[in-house]
Amino acid sequence: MYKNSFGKVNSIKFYFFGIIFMIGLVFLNLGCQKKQIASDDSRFVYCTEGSPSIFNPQLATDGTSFNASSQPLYNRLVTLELGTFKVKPELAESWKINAAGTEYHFKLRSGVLFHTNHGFAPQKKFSSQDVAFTFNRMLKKDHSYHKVNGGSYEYFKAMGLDKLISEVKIVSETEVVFVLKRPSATFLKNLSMDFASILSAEYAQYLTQKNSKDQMGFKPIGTGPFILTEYRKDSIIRYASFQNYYKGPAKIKDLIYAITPNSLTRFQKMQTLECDLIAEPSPVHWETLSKNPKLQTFKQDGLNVGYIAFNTKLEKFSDSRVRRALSLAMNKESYLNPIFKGEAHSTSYPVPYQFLSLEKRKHIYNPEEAKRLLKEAGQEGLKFKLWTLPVSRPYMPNGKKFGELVQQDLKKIGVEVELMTYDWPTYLSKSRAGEHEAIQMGWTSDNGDAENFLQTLLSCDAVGAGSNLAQWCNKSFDEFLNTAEAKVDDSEREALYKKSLTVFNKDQPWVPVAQSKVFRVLKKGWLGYSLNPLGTENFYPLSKAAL
Amino acid sequence: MKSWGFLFFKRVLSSLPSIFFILFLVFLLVRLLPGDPILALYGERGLSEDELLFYRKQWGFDKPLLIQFVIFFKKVILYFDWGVSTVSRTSVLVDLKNYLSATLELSLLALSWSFPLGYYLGKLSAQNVGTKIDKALSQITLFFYSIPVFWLGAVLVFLFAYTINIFPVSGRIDPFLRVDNITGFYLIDAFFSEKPFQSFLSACHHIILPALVLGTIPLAIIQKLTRVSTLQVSKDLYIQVARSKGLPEKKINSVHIAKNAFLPIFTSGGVVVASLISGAVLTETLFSWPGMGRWLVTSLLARDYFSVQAAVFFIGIIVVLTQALVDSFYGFIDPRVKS
Repeated sequence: MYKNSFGKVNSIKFYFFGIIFMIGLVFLNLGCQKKQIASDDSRFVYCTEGSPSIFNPQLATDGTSFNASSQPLYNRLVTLELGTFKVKPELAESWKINAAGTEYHFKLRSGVLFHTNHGFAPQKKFSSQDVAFTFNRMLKKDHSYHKVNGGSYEYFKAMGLDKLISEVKIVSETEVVFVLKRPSATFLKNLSMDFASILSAEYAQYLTQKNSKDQMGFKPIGTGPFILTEYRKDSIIRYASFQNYYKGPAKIKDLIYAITPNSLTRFQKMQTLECDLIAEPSPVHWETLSKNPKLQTFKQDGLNVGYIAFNTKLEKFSDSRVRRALSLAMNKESYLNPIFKGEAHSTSYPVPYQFLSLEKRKHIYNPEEAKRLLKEAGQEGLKFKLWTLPVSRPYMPNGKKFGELVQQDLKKIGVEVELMTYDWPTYLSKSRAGEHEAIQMGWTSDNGDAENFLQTLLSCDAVGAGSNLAQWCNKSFDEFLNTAEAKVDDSEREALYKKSLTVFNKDQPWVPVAQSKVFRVLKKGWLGYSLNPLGTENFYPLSKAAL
Repeated sequence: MKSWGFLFFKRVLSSLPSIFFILFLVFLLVRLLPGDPILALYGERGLSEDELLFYRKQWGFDKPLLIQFVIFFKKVILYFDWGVSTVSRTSVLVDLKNYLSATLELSLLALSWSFPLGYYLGKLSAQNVGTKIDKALSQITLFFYSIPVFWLGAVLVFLFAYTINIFPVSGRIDPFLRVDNITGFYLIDAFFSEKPFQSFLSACHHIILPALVLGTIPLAIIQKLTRVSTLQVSKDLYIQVARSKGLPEKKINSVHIAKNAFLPIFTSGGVVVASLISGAVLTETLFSWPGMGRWLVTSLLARDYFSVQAAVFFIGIIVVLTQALVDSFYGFIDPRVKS
């Protein structure tokens, strides 16, 4: 009845509206289409995965912040040579170590300038004052900057430097001495890490006068190749080349970090060439990216280990025979294709093979022996819960799938595995509290040293911290680590760490599963890029090929 | 007659208890979740018991929940201090300002196309009730309503950005164009930049796809509401009277039906805003749009208590304010309820 009362379809109006709408869309679409900005040799877009937490690397803990701060904005006293992990001079020209290994005497580079930015124009060049300021800030609890920006020097503490350095002595403008409480083999390597970036003492003074110390973390001044010009959280970070950089200005004039948290989006942006480089491409996309003729790819064995840790405090995992049996029953080789797309190799070591010049040997898969060991230990028909990693990491891109594969393998020896997981923060705090039975986890190297893996993940000290998830405390293992720490000679250290590995393999608190490759794609035309397996990106050497 | 301002104020005042309740609930819920904001920061590295206690003390997380709430509430009331993000250590309020403007820009643009179109299609449906057009339109809006936003978004990105590449995959503006943060709306700020025209076009170009995706659900809601209310009104006796006294059909439609049919659409403003915000969570995540929705999700995943509190609270406030605005305006649109 109402239908009739409304009369005919107002077809003209419908049509008209539709057309207007379509035209509007097309117009906007065409009008707004990006006018291809002429490809400029001096611009570089890096699609990063997140916002930096702060621009002072002393206070950061994540790779994203380091890539946005320590790499473009700062320099360290020393740096690591890519590939060999040997220490190389950077802001320190040379150094001498006393016979006892407790005094490091650095001769500093002269003529290095700090950035002029954020209304600050430095009057002084880089000197021993800056080195002393940088380290005293972290070391001394009564330092006027100690508590600024939250004052949690996590990496400094994690590397044990707060307990190691006794003082930083200024000898002259260009000479500085670090006095240590005891000899430490990893001290120099630790100084190459991001958190040891050199800050400006003069800038600190300037901010104190302006009564805005907090700016130190957000309006950074460093000696690095780039100057921060704009930061919009979750959106963009903009840098300009620092014209007075001590090695000469970078070829890239405008460096842009486009913050793109979603890895699929980053992949798409790389494929459409909206980015010049993307952070952490997911293994799922490696093949497609490698086939794109407009991109160049870089691939290398990473410095990481993915593992399953057994909670050795639990009755069911207290017997090392059980843990060994479970390790033997896992066919690690068969996990590589589904989980890592083949871009990894299986491992039996808790450290990357590169560090201790270990052989890349194949894992022994022996379910028969596993059954025998279980029987011997009286744990036939073992049941346990395995927590699967809820986040994607280079060492474990797909925790759930990996869990399912392990489940199948262990079923063959009569072990029943129940899979479960929590979201990441819950996963971390519950595992720290020791609520897990078996758990997937992994680690990526901080400083290119084996000590960083063994001490952080397997030492007795680490049990309460939530990083030793096996809750494994073995006295003879710890003994080897502590002896090694005091040796300055690398070959002696290596021998001791290798001995500690035999203890590990005998006791098997974890099943180390795989060491994955790291992969980067860069737009074709850029030269000078080198992949750093430690995960940091250095854009200073990059330049466009002459066409 | 009371002024509009008074009515609005009264509405807001009467919703104060619910606003307070939102605040309390969010405060409590986010803290009752397992996981710890400090441990979440340190990830695989872990933290020793002493240090964890030290940081918990520093942030004030060691106190009983109720006392924490009183301290927090006092700061909010006295200084409008919403705390500092545990992740970025920046003021939550500064973050809020940036994210809110990004979301508003996107939502307003989404509404600007979905509202008129939805309204028009709804009317069209009602005018042709039972015909093929009505059925077709119903199917289309049902499709838009039921389709998951993230799926539609992903498909559109795949088609238009990835495959044909006529739109950018994500972002708000071409990274090489620099726009200063004045209003927070890139479409406006663009005019104050060095290259106003180019920046504006680039901002348009970046916002089209997300605005299209975000507008689909409001489009469907408004179409359905308009259809139903138009049909409802056209059954009323006064329409029959109007028709029997020989008024032209056009006039009946535009004056008598349209005006009355608009009332329920108008009052459902709160629902539309709520649907926009829930859509924004997904749309923003998909397009790396730095807005409220994405902020809420990332903060929640990091257990960034202060950011979560502020995000949920202000989203709640937006919905409450919209509803208050709608309610206080109602008297002006419908003179019958004035008294």
